[in-house]
Amino acid sequence: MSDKAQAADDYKRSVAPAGLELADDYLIFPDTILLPITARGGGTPGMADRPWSRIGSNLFIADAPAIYSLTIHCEPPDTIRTGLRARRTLSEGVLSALAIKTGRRPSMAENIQDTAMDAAESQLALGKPIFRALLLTALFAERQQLDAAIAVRRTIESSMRAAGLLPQKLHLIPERALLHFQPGGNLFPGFVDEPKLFYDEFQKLIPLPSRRVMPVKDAVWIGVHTRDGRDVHLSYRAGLDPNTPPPPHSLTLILGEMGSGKTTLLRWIMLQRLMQGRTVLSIDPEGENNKLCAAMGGKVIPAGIPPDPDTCLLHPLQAETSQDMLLAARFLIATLAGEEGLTPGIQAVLHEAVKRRWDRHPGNMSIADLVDTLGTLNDPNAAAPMALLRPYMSGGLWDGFFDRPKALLGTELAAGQWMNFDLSTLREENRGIIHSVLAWFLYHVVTVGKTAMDIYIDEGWRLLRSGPFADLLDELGRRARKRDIGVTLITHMPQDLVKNPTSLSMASTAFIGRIGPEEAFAFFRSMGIPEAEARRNANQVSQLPPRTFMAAPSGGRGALFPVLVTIPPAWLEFWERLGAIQKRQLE
Amino acid sequence: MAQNNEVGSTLEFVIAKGFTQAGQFTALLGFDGSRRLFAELFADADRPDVRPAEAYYKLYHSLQPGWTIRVMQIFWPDAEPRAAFLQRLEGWENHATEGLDILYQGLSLAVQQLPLPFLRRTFIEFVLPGEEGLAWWQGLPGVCASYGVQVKHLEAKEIQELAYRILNPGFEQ
Repeated sequence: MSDKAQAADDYKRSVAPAGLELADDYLIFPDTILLPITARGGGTPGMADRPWSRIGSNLFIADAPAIYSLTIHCEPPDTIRTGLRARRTLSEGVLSALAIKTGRRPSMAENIQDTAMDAAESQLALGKPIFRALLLTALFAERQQLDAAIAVRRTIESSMRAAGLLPQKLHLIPERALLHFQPGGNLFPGFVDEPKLFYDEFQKLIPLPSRRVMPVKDAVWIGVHTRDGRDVHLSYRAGLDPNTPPPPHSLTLILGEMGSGKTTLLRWIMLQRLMQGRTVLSIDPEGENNKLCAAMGGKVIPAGIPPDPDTCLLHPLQAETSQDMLLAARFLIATLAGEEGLTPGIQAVLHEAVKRRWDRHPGNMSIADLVDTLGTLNDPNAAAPMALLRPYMSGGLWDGFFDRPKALLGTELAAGQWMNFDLSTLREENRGIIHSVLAWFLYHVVTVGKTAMDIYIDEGWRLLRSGPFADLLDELGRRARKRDIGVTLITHMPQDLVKNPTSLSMASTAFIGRIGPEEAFAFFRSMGIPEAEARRNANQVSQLPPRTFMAAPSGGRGALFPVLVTIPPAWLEFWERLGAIQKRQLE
Repeated sequence: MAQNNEVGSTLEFVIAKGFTQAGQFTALLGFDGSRRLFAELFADADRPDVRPAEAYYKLYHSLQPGWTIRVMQIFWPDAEPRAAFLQRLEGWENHATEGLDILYQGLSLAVQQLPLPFLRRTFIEFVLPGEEGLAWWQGLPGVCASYGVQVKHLEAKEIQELAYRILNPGFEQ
């Protein structure tokens, strides 16, 4: 055997099928089956609404693994033009003869075809390239999935028929698909239709390239890109794709109507971050995470005064400089009395009190210390803040919130700890102060604390309707990234986000589950997405099945992509055992 | 179902004739003796600044009459991102409590046992028409790069891998 023949033989042996069985219209490999499919279609090049221009590559590759092949041969324009002219002359001759002999007038279809041939001839004369195309694709599946694969092929066939094409399955000759598909194969084998097409007639048939995206160090696993099939990971630092510029904020939104799987997605992200060693703070309006938090060794913090008489919720007046202390005092008064309560006179007395106290005792102070210092000022403006603060000072009726020796919530948090704020027991009369405490705490851990952490806010719509929280989230959005803090917010009411045109709407990443098209449209528009694109995105989002979210990098700008959230079965079983989910919501 | 149970050789289904050289590129000798050049295309089609449709427009409109090109897209199991994630997962240390350890083990198992993610790898096969075609092929990466599409010319081993994948379709890496 010559060297050349030997090389060819070696090549054949290295790539030949390990085993192959021929069925009527599919091939059987040792582990898989391969179902070829192609189409035959008519029409004249350039004819309006030609069947080939009505289908795209997604029809063949979106729903099942496939080998997709589109061969294009650039035709010499003169040859095609000559052929078209001959065909047109013949057609016109026949029509004319029919008209003379029988009086039959050309039908509308014949007129359209004649006009199309005329137009195509003109376009070719002007130098427009024309191509001969061959489309052959094949679905493949595991052998036991034959019925499912046949069902997918039937769906494709019906879509092709709807487009005006005649589907073909290479009946009795399925092995010829291999002769075409393989590198170096027969590109125009003669048994498949080879339509002449202009570029715009086959451009939708050209498959878009994709590429591999690797997970970065702090990434968590979200699921599978349902179109490309790749794994999708989320990093608060690098976003959904480490190859693109880092996101401007580390704020992630999870939107979707009830039952779309928002809470499960939040837990999926949150628990992975916890395992990475991150400190996790979650705000849980329904108390849904209490059991889970306890099972993970976390701390559940109820929305109320701690039962231990020596422990309050938080020490709000903590600061390293007098300036920060003044800010803390102003924030406290503002959260208790609202922004309007912080008059210039009150601001002045707060400034004076903080300055006086800091000069004598620099460092943290209690509410009682502040009230005492305010009391030393000879200024009538001091009366209002003192009255506001007095119930919260040590010995006051609400001292459990702020003024006991120990505090549940400190700014120095242990790494890898989960604190779940259970707001399910929140009483109406305490709502304002609890929201204020939380707002203050979050603000403090973000701006003062040194622990890298993540904040997760479930049912965010409740909090977004609270003044201090809406403002706080805006602040968090801006500061969190610098402080290596990830903030994740979920809501089923995107209109609440729309009403707050703050950094929330500029969130780095959004996972959008199924929501109504109008709600989704309003949300996308609030992000500044052009109307047509917002409408298109909204339609996509409104048709999503449960477990599937549209991932939107950079707050919904650019193309969204669908992600099927993949929760390990062991997790679902564990959550179910704990009673953290009522049923297998995401199976 | 199967028409017959004849036992034969699968070698007859391979019709390409091995490798040859075309300029600086490795070419595969096609069934008809033509030289075929191969490249893989990469692009993040989800990014707004990547415009593969425009790259394709440029590509097809630069073909000369008589030239033939094929674009293929193939489902290709891709273990690397999963393996990289598993490696990162092994560095996660906060699973000392029983609950967290159950989840950690569950996640680790899922990463190893759930079906592999896949890529839709996109390849071009170009039937080399002659020296003019070689220059065009050489310039293709530059043409596509301006639209955010990367082109990687394939070597013999990669072409062989592609052929094997097509002639032995499967879900294993």
